[in-house]
Amino acid sequence: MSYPQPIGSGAVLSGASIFRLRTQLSSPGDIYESDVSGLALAIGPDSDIANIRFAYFDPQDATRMTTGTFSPQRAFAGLVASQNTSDYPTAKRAGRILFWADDIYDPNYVPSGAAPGSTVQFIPPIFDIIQYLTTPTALTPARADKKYLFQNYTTTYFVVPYYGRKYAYIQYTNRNATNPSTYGIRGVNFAITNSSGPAPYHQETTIVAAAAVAPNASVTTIITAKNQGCFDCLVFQVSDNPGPLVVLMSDVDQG
Amino acid sequence: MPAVPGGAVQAPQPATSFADGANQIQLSTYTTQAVSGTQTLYNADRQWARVTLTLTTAGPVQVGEKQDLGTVTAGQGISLQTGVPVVLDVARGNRLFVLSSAVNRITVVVAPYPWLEVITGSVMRLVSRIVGS
Repeated sequence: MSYPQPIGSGAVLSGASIFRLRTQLSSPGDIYESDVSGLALAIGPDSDIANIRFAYFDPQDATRMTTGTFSPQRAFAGLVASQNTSDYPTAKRAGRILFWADDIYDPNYVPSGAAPGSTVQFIPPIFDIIQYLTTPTALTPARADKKYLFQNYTTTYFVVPYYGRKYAYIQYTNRNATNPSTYGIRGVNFAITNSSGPAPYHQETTIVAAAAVAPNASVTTIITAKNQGCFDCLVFQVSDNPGPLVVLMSDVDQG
Repeated sequence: MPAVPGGAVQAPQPATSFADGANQIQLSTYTTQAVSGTQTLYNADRQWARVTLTLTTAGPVQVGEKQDLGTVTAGQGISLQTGVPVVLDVARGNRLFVLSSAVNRITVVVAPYPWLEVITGSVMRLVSRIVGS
């Protein structure tokens, strides 16, 4: 969570027509809030998190709280009021609209079989939502495509967020003129438990088995939801550099 | 336009007199507070005024003439809808109150009745004629 957290009322005071909350997710327990009402909730274009849970004060519910989900496929249109003058029971906290990631993220994840001394580099997922303060003219369903480029590195594993994506184009080339390099891809779906211990619950699917790539040789991989499946993140295993690795992902299945 | 030496035409100076307070239009943006109490939105200090309120954020916002509007769902006023102007004719001495549970923006346009002076003048002329005859 970034500090200070953006404040919804600040967007109103500055004359904006939206309140955008865009931040890096640092832990799966991050909860964000808005103190202003919105006429629609939608995923922001930069979001890596695909499913976002929201809660608002609802006097008709016994708990005074109702929750819902919005995603790239399903924005939430309609007035969601931030009732600051009402209190949530028991906690006696003022009414707010609360947001959190409905997808699981484990910043402590360690790929299975990682050798001692291996390094794991995470691309922290971006949490990006838009709260429309005025009537939206259109709710764009899909997120922007994302492109990652790794070139010179000292890490063993890259963990790249892939929540809800339907397509990825990946190209790796070993630019070491003399030595082969090791390269592999696996898709991971996180479990609620962390990955410490000998048998973590996280599920790993081998997409490209780690193997040697000859000097100046390339490996191109296309991942689709239909053929390989859906994953929370993609994990790339690399051993040497320079080795440009391009990862392009999209919400739209390119077939 | 008045001629100036050299044959050029000089544009007239802009008017320096403005409408007096009773006839001035008032434009403002009111920002509600997230407090449980009712706040004063407009205090009519002129004879009559046409007040146009437009909510430019999501709301909910309640507007009424009662000093205590209760809650935003109590029905003690009217709910402003986003982007929909509400026109109210407010007589002198009345007030408009507002209630909201969050920070919201309301544009407020207070316009005088330009025809009120004409009617008043016509009536007064008629009265003076009747009295004078």
